[in-house]
Amino acid sequence: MTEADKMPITVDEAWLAMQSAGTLSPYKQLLLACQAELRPEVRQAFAISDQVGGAILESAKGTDLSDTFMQRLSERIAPASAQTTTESHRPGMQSANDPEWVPGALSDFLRRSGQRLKWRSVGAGVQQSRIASSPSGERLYLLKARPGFAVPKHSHRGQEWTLVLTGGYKSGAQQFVAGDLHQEDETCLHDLRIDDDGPCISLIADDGKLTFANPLLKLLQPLFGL
Amino acid sequence: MQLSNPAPTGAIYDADTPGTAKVTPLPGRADLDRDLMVRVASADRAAFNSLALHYAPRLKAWLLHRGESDATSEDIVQDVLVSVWQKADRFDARKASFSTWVYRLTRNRWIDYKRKHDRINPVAPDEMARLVDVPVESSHADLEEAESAIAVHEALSTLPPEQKQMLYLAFFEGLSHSEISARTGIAIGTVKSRIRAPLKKLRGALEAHRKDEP
Repeated sequence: MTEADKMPITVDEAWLAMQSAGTLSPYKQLLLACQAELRPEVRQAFAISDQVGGAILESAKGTDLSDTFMQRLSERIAPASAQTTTESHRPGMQSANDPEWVPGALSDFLRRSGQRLKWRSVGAGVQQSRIASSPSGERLYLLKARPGFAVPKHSHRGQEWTLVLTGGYKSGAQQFVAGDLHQEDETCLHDLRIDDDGPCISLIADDGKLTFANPLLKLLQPLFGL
Repeated sequence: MQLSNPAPTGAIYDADTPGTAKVTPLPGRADLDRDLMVRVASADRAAFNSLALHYAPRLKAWLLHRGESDATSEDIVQDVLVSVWQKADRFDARKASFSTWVYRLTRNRWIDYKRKHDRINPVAPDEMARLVDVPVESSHADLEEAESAIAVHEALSTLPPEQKQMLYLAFFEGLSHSEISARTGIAIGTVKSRIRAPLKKLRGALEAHRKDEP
């Protein structure tokens, strides 16, 4: 196995199983789809999970169908076997209007929701682009941070998944680069520092705002909106 | 009258004891499905009905486990099977087994259904969010998938029962780690490790297989 074949930093297989089962939250599902696009090793892991799902399906316990099911099905395929579906846009294809660091899956998400990226400054050289939020409080957004920017020790409310799209950063001793997916939760207390050689843009899905260890930062947090 | 669910051969699951389901692929099923799909591509209705009678009850159960109603589950399964009929000529058994193909079709159709029923809210109220699935795969990746499909089918049958149980609950019943923990009384960390271990093993086996290739 070459270095290029090495699995990038990502969520563990237990989360990949949820991706395959369709039970991951929509935004986390999108993050993984983006990572799979950037890293073929993740795409391969998806394929293995789906093969497991398919194999289980072969022998799983089914449930009774209604007595009209097969008749209705027969009527629906009755006219012809001709292809009736049209595909004007293939999912996962990047739009020409998006910056090159935007993965096709995200581009597709933005296109279908009629959105364009809008950056707003949250101070200290950091910009945020909100993309979506769910009734359960999950948020999806992009964050762009200047080279050398440091985030003091903090934790999270629930899960936070960060997919690095460009640049990189260090969290503790661990280095994250483009294509890595960084997972944290409320049990983790960590700081991070953006690499000096360029800005870092990340796609983030989280369950709520950061919780800072420093009381002063807690006071200032409403100003940042992070 | 209800259509009976065709009993699979080969003692595949214990239907009466929740959580004891086995995940051994049905012996010969992949070959049978491949042959049936060749006929379906030629508009053979009998072959299509045979596939539908095997998979529809299972796909319906998959959807019921995710909280969909009986009627919605049947509607989604119908959409999936119509898609199988219409796209049969696109199915390539060298790239994936039929069970994997129909599993993906169903998951994607279900996610699409959820999106259309406003269960996902974008920032602006009038905008509709869109989920995407695995990006378009290259022909190289397809070949890799064909290899791994064989490895996965072989490896699944050798897993210990406790790992099979976890995979069944996660993949088929769609339970989260905490839900599996609550259902089985097993600590959540153990649940994750029992899902993680076989999937890691499968990936490792596949990587070893590739390494051995000239």
